[in-house]
Amino acid sequence: MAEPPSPAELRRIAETHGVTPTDEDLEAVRAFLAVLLPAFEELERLAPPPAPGE
Amino acid sequence: MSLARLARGLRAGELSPREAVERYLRRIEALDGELNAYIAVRAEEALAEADALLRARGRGSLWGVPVAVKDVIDVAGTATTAASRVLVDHVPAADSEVVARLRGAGAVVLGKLNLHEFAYGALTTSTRFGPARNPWSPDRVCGGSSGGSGAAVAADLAAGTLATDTAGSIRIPSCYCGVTGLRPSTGRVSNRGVLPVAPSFDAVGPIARTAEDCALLLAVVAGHDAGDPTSLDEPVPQYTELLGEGVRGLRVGMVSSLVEDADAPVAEAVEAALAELRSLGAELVPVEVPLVEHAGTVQQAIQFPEATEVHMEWLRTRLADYDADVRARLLVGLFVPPEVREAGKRAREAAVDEIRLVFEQVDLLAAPTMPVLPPRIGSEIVELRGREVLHRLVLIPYNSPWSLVGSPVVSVPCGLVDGLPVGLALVGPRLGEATVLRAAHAFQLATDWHERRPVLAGTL
Repeated sequence: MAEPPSPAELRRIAETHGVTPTDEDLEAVRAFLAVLLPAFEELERLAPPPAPGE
Repeated sequence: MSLARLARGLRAGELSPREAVERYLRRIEALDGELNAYIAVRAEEALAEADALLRARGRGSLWGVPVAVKDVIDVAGTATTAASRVLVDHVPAADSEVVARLRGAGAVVLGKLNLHEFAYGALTTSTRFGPARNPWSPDRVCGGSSGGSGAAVAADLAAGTLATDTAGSIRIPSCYCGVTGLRPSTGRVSNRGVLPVAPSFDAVGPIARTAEDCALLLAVVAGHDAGDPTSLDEPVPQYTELLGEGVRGLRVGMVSSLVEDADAPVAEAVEAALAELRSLGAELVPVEVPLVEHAGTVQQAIQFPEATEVHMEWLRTRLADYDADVRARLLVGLFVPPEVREAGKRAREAAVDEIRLVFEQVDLLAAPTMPVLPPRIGSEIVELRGREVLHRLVLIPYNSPWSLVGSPVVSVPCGLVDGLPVGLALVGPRLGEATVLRAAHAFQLATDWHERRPVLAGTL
């Protein structure tokens, strides 16, 4: 997950929400995600979901 | 002139509400062409409202005081633009709850203040209305997102203002503009009639000259609003009456990592301010707050998708009308997986528990409001300990921890570096506004940083 998805994959996801970004938008989003996704991976390790029954 | 002093003068009949409004309209006319703090000035309406006060029964605590509000806060009959092309001809029929409370206390609304588009950025440089300029150095930003509020107070273009803060939007412009700003506890002040950024973090609060001014404004707008589901139903202390209790015996925890990581001259100014608090009787203790390290990530995991949800319909139909930076931030929220947002919510609960333990050891936390000086307009790069870094990244550890846990934070001016203001942040436990204001007031009684004015502001 640490690598940002490709522009084509980002476009596909955006379109499932009815949003149609430009190529420039997707490049800007990838720059954000390049920083955010590794941090989010760490966050999931820090705050794992509760075990079943907890 | 401070809001408190002006309010006393109005009550004493030293000037009329119309004269007060005319004073600020003259200053706006003379100075705002350069500063661009205002998006809309309600000159005729404000004069009429000032005249009507003479016929009103009763005189509230803000009787005749001219104030202005950030342009995400609804004022009936005046467009709310959020500094965006997305909101064209959006004229609310009703006042926001906070504006209704201001009017109830006798305040006159001068106008709507510039901001970063949709309050979603820290520079106040929208392409629709242009950048707000820092009165201390007009080639620099005011910070944001409430940049117009900071500039208006610094240049004395309003006696006080209301702004909003999601991840630093009151604190950053207060710091960069050399004025006093309070982010109240989340839920302390109604958000009804205020455009949201991320509702679980948003807080309306004052930016004004002094802690006393902020206390006067907070006393009017704080308190439960049954029409706002995020509003807390908790008693509201008498903020102005508690201001004079001083800091003797207060335990102030200096957040060591945030002081050490700030640019050296900023850290020196903050350390000098903390020494002043110690000389006034506070007990100063260095503390480590582990949540500082991860708070930004946790807030972003929740805030990005929350903000995107607010804008979803406009993202589908008006995407090209957003400025590029705000458009990118809003699009990012589409790509935050639900499991990351859930992890963020769990981490926020853990952070709230952690900060509760910290506030069992100290009464307040202290840190630089911002670790750097404001960037030049057109640049997002700032210098931090000899390195060039992105402004939007350096602000996160100084602001997100306190937004994440919903704590009140006041920023007070505490020095000048290269002629630009530096701010001290005092953080309290949830609903501890009275304590942060009391400490800020004690600091301001002993120092004059809050009285320093930019050269431009003194030209009238």
